Amino acid sequence: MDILVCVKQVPSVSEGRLDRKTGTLLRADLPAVLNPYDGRALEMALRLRDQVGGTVRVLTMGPPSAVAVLREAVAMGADSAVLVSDAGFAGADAMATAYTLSQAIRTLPQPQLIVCGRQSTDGDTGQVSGALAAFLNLPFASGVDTVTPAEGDELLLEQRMGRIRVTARYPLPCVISAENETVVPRIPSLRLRLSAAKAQVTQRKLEDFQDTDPSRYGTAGSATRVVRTYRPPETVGKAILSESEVTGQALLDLILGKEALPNV
Amino acid sequence: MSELHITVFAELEGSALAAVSCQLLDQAFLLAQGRQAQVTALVLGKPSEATRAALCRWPLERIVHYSVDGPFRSDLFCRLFLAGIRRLSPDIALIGSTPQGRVLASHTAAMLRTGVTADCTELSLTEEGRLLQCRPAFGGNLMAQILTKTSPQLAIVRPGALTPPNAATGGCPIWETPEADLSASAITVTQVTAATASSALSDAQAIIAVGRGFRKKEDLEQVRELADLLGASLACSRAVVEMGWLSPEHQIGLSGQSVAPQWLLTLGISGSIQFRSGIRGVKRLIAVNQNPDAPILQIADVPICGDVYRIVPALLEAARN
Repeated sequence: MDILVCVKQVPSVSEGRLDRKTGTLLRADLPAVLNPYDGRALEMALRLRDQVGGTVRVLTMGPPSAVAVLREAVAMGADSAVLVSDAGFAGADAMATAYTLSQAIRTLPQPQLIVCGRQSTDGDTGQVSGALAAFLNLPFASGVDTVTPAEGDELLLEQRMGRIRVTARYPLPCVISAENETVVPRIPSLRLRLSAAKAQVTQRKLEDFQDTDPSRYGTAGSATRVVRTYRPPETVGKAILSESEVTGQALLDLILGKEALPNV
Repeated sequence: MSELHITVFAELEGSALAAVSCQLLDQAFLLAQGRQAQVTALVLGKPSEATRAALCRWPLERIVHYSVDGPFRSDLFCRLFLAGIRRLSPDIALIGSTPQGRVLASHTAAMLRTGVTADCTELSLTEEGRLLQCRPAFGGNLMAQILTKTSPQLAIVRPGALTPPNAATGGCPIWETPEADLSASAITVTQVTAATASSALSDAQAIIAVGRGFRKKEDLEQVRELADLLGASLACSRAVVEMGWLSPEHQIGLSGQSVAPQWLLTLGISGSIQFRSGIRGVKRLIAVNQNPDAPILQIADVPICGDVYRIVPALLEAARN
């Protein structure tokens, strides 16, 4: 099975700063890592490939430095990597990002399965994967916890859907969003890390796409924009108790409501 | 200024109206106040008579209904939802942040080449009648206000604290059932079961939530024991799910569960806006954090600056007796 995994490079800590004027994220001052949700999506793809054979290709849209997460993915075992990068892609919202990814994917041999992470730790809208499926005219499955090959070119999926768990058969090709939080992604071996450092990375730019209209991409192609950021009003809290003031039985009574709450 | 048209996705849970749909309907009419506006609803599925009656509580202009049978299948439901939105052609569409809602929204936004804002916690209108969508801006303590320049403006809205239902208004809206193929789907659902952890959380009356203040997964066992002794459900912040210590159903926050227990004890959770948006319904919040500047200590009813590695054993000892 030929599987494609979309990954994103994100700042290593979920707390970052916004450029006050443009409302876009200031990524430069934080170290960058593979989005943890995408790491698990990649692990899902790798396990499926290990089970049924085939290839895993990873693809990312980002600045040139994003090649680092592609190398990390190859070190984990991905077979090939694609960097989708162009100055014109910067500042894209979720829909513009999905459209860019879809155009890049259309320039590659069609995968049977596309796997995405549930959301990113920075933008965290969780909207890219569903939109990507729509742009590629493929069925979409969200919240996928487990994937099993099924007869007749189908996949058996277990999905987390809030209060319920769904088991369903999906036709291939399709797009899935992974929600396999209990899975631990494999740690790259040194050997794979060394070969990943030298691996070929395929590049895709705007000029490679079928739709080369720059107004469909990046900031220009984004229907949504941040117009203002603000701090929510400060709340004045109650006096903070120290550990020594209330522990054990006294704290238990406070928790269970057997004692009146301390006054401000 | 032409009439503002807001459509609410009145999502069903089985044959009943989902709680978030009621909140969205209230929200839509609040936005419509003082303006020339109409509010409509879009329904997919088989509403019961009680649900039909419930929808009379709001003075909706009309309801577009696709009477699709069976469980949610994304290809079929997305196609019908898109058809409904195209038929209604609203300026604004409000969708609850549910697994179904999020899938429908992303598909619709892509197909209509319009914008969607996820996890809105506040909505308002500009003078010109454009939707101002507010959501926490990643991680820290900032809120972002977002505008969409295209139509319809799609907003996925988090459920807030529950509001009491309004009295019935007298009339009932017109139900439209357009022609559509209600069965074509390439997806076959073979089983639907309850996800035990998540239903326990949103209904739980007592919760203990753990955060990054713990150093390793094994340390949560003591907390689990404490929760069992106190009859509380175990929950966590997003960081704990990201580290793979607990499954996503345990997560409280913007991309997790909203909870409304009698009491919530947080251990080693700093209290980002994302987390706090999931605890608006909590009656009594007891928070333990080693950092006196942790935001959660500002909003807790009982804020404690201390080490969870001392407090948890002490509580456990008291609870065992």
